Amino acid sequence: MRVPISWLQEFVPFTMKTGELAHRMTMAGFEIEQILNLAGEEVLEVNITPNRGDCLSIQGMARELAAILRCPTQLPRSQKQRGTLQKIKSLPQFKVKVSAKKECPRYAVLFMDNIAIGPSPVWLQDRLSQVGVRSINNVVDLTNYLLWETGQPLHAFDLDKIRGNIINVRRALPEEKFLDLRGEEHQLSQNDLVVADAEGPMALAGVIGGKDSEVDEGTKRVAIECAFFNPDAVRSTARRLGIATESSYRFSRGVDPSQIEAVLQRITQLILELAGGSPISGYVDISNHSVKNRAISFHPSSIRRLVGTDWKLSEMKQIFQALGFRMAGSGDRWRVTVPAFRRDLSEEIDLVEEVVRLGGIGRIPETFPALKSGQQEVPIDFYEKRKMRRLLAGVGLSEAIHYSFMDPEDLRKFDESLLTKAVTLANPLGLADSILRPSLLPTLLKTVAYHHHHKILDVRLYEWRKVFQRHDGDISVPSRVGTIEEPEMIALALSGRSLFHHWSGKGEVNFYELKGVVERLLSGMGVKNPSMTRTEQSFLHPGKSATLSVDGMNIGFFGELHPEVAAHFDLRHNIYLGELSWAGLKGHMRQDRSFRPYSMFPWVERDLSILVDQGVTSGALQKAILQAGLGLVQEVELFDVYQGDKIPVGKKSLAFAVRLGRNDRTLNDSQVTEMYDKMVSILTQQFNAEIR
Amino acid sequence: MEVGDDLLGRVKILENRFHGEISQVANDQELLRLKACYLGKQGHLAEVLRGLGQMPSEQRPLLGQEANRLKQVIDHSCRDTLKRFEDEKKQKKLAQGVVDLTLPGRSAVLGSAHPLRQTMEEVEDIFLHLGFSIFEGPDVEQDYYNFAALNISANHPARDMQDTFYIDGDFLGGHVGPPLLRTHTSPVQIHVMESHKPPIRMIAPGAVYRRDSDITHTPMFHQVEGLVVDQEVRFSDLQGIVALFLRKFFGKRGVRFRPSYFPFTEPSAEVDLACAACEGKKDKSACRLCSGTGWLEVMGCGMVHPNVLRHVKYNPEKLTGFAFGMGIERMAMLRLGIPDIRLFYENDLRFLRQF
Ligand SMILES: [Zn+2]
Repeated sequence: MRVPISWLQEFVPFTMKTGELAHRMTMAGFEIEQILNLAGEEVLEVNITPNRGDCLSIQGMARELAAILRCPTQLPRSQKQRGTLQKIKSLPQFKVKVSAKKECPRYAVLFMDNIAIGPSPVWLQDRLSQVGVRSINNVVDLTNYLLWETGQPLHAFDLDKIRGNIINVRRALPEEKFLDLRGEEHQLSQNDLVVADAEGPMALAGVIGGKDSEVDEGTKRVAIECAFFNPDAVRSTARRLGIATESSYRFSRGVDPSQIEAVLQRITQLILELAGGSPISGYVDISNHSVKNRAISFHPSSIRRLVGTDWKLSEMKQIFQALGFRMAGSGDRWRVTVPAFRRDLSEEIDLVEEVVRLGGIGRIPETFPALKSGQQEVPIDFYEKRKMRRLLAGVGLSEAIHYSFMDPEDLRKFDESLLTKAVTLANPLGLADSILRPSLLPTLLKTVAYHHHHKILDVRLYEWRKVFQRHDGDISVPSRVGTIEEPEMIALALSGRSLFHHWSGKGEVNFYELKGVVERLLSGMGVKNPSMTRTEQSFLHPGKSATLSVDGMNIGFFGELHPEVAAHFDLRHNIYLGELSWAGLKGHMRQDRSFRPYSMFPWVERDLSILVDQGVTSGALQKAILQAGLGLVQEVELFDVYQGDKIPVGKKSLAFAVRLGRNDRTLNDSQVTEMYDKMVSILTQQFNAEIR
Repeated sequence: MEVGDDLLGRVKILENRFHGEISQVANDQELLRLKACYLGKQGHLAEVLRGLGQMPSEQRPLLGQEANRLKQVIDHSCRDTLKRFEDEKKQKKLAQGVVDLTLPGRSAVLGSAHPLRQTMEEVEDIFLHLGFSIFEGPDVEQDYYNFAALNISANHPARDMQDTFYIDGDFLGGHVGPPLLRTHTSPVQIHVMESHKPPIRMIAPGAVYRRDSDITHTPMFHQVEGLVVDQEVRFSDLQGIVALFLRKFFGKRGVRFRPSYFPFTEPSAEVDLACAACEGKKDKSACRLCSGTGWLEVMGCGMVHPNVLRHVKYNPEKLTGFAFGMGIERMAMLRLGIPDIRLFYENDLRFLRQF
C-alpha cells in the first residue's frame, strides 16, 4: 500500500528522515519495500501483512506508527468537525432495507442534493495519483480519498438513477445478472450479496458498483453508502468472479464499523467544500451489529518461556498502552482489553507478538535448543539416492528438472495410452500445463529438441522426479475412491556424439552406449541379474530397444526413439531414451556388500574366435563358455564382432578373450589346453560354431 | 732395432690407429666390427702378440702389460661409444613422441546434478549435521494438511497469497475437499507431528506449486521447511539455528530478523541477509540486488502457532516449537549469481554444466 509521507504527517507529527522512518516501520512488521517520489513528494510502499486489515489506510498506518514511535496521534486540521450530521430513522418516500442481515451487519447511507459534479482540485488529484488511483470526478474522488484515509470503502450512487425509491441489501436472485461500472457483465449466484433497487442489483456489495447507477457529469443528487459487509461474503464473491478492488480488498480483511459515523461526517464536509450541495435530512443507519472489545489473559512470564528474553513489566505496559490496549490485573495475571478493530488479536500469543514487534526483535539473543533425542531419521532410501546420483553424473548425464505439468497433446504424440493415467488440473495456467506428468519422457524429449534447435546435438540428460498416475475408483463401491500415486522415475536421454568421442577417435551415441549406461547404473547400485528382453513400448524402435527386468519384475526400458515419434517432436537425429523405476531398482539392490576372494596367481589368457550363424547371440556363447569352463573361467571378454565380406553370408564372427585360473594355484599348460579343447567342442556341438 | 722395441712400437701404432678409426664409427654395427678387428682372434692385437715368442724373455712382461692396457682402452672406448649410440637412439626416440600440450585431453565426460538439487543437498547436509531428521511428503495434498491444520481456514485472507492448483476429479473422498498441489512444504510438519511424539527436529525438502507465472515466479518451485518442537523451545533458539544455518550456507554475513506474519507461526519473522553487493558500502541506494535496502529476504520463520499444535493434539501449554522455510531457487540464485529463476527450468546444458 502506498502511503504519502505528508498525508501520514497530518496524523502523526514526526520529523525524522524518511530512511529512518522506513527502518523503524520495517522492524515493527511493516516492511517498506520502496520509497517512491511521486508528484514531488516521498511516498512509502508498505507491505501490509494479511492479518492487519486495520492498517489498510493512512489513519490506521498513522495509529500504528504512533505506537511504534510512542507518540500521540492528532486529527488533521481539516478534519475538525463543523456542525453535526443527524441520524434519521427513514426518509420520506424512500426506503432503505437490509434483507441479508447476516452478510450486512451495518448499512448507512447519506443523501445529498444540489451536487455540482466537476473535476477535483489539484491537491486531491495529486494525493490520489500518489496512491495509484485515477481521478474521475470530485464526488467519486472523495469516496476514494476517504477509503485511503480511513480504510472505509464508500460508494456513491446517482440517487436519480435508483429505481423505485428503494435500496435493498439482499442476496442475488437465481439467474440474476449484473453489469459493473467497468462494463463487464456477471452472472450472479445466490451466495452473492448485492445492493439492489426495485429492479435489480446496483452494486456487488463491497466489491464494485454498477454501470446503471454510476455518478457522472449529469448527477445532481447522490446516495453515499458507508457499510460494514461480512468479510467472507465479500471475499467469496470477489474471488468467484475474479474481481479485486480496493474496496473488496479492505472488506475481506475487515473494516472498522465503529468509525462509520465519523466517516460520514467527513465526507459530508468534504463534498460541501468541493462539490457544493446540501445533505437531505440526514443519514439512515441500519445496524444489527454491536462492537465488543475483546479481553485476553496475559502472563508476562510467557515472554521468557516463548521468546527467550525479558522485557520489563513497565516496558510491556508502555507497549500495550501505545497500542491502545487497556490493562487490568496484577502480578503474572493480566487482563488485556484490545480495540475491536484489532481483529488479529485473540489469544495470549498474539500479545506476545506485539511485545516482540514493538519491543524490538533485535533484542532477542541467539541461543540453541537442547538436543534431547539421539534419533535422527532420514528417508529409507536417502543415501542410496545420493549414490545413484553420483553414478548418473559419472556416466556423463546432467540432471534436468522440469515442471510437473505437461501438455496433454505432447503425451498424445508420445504414447496415447498414458493419457488414461494422467492427473488433470481443475484450474491450470493454460492447456499446455493442464496435466501432471505420468511419464517424464515427453518433456525430456522436448528439452532434447530444444538443444537440437540451438544446434547443440550432443545431449546427455537425465531427470529423476515423481510422476503422477491416477487410479480411478470403482464407482459402484462408494468407499473406493480414486487415488493418485507419485512413483519416482529416472528418465535418460542421449543423442549426438559418444561419451568416448574425441579428436583421437570418433563415434556416435548408439544403442550399446545407452545399454552401457544402464548396465553401469545397475551394477553400481548392486542390482543382481538384470535381464533384458525385447520390448513392446510403442514409442521405441522395435528392433533397438529392451525391457529391463529383475526376478520377473519390469523395472524399466530403454532404446532408440521410434522414428515416427521422433518426427512428431520434430527431432531429426537419433535419440536414445530410457526410463527406470526407482522403486523397481531399489527393490533389487544387493544389500550384502561383503568381500569376495580373488586369485593370487596369474591367469592364462586364450583367445576364442568363433564363426556362427547370425542369429546366435553373444550372450548364449558367453554362457556356454562359462559353463564349459567348470568354474575355472575367471573372466570372458568379447573384444570383436565382425560381419562382412571376409566371411560367408549369414555368418558372423565373435572373438572372446577367455581368462582361466584357479584361486589356489597356477594352471599348467596341459590343463589349459584341455579346458580350451572342451570349450571348442561344446561350442561346435551347441552352435555349429567354427573356431578360427 | 730389437724385436721387443719393434713390437712395443706396434702396440703404440695400433693404439693411435684405433683412436683414429673409432672416431669415424657411425653406428653400433660398425663399432662391433671395429672391436672384433682389434680384439678378435684374428685381430690386430692377437697378431702383435703372436710375435711374443721371439722377444727376449725379460721384455715379454712389458709387452704383455702394454697389450693388456691397449685391450682395456679399446674395451672402454667401445663401451663408451656404444653407450653414446644408445643414448642418442633414446633421445631420438623420445624426441619423436612430443605431444601438443594444447590439444584437448580425453576422459569420460562427467555429468552433474541440477543446481537446485545441489543446493538442496547442501541445505540438507547442514541440517543433518545439526541433528535434524529429514522427512518427505506427497506433492498432491489434502486441503486439511495444506491449509486447515496450518491455521489457514477456508476464508483466511492468507489463501489469497497462495493461489492453489486443484486436481480435477473425485479423489481421496469428497468430504475432505478436492486434492490440491501443495503450496508449501509445511503439510509435512503436520504429517510428522501426527505420527511422531516430540521432541521433533526435522526438515522437509520438496517441490511446491503456486498458480503464478512471471519474471520472478515459476508455477513450481522448491522449499525446505524446518520444524523443532519440544519443551522449552524459544524464539531465541529459532534465531540461533537459522542464523547458524545462514552463516554456514552463505559465509559470514549479517543476518536480521524482521517481524512479519504467517498464519501457522506466531510471533513470525522474515529473515534478511546482508546484501553481498553493497554490504559495508556507505551508499546502498544504487544497489540493484537489494533495491537499495541493504538486505535480501531469504527465509520466513516463527514460533509454531498454538492452533497448529492443537490440530495435532500437542498441548501448547507444555510444548513449544519453531518452524522456518526457505525457497531453494532463491538460495541458489543468491549463492550462484543466477539472474533469472526461469533458467532453472529451461534445462539448457550450457547452464546445467556450469555447476
Ligand atoms: Zn545491495
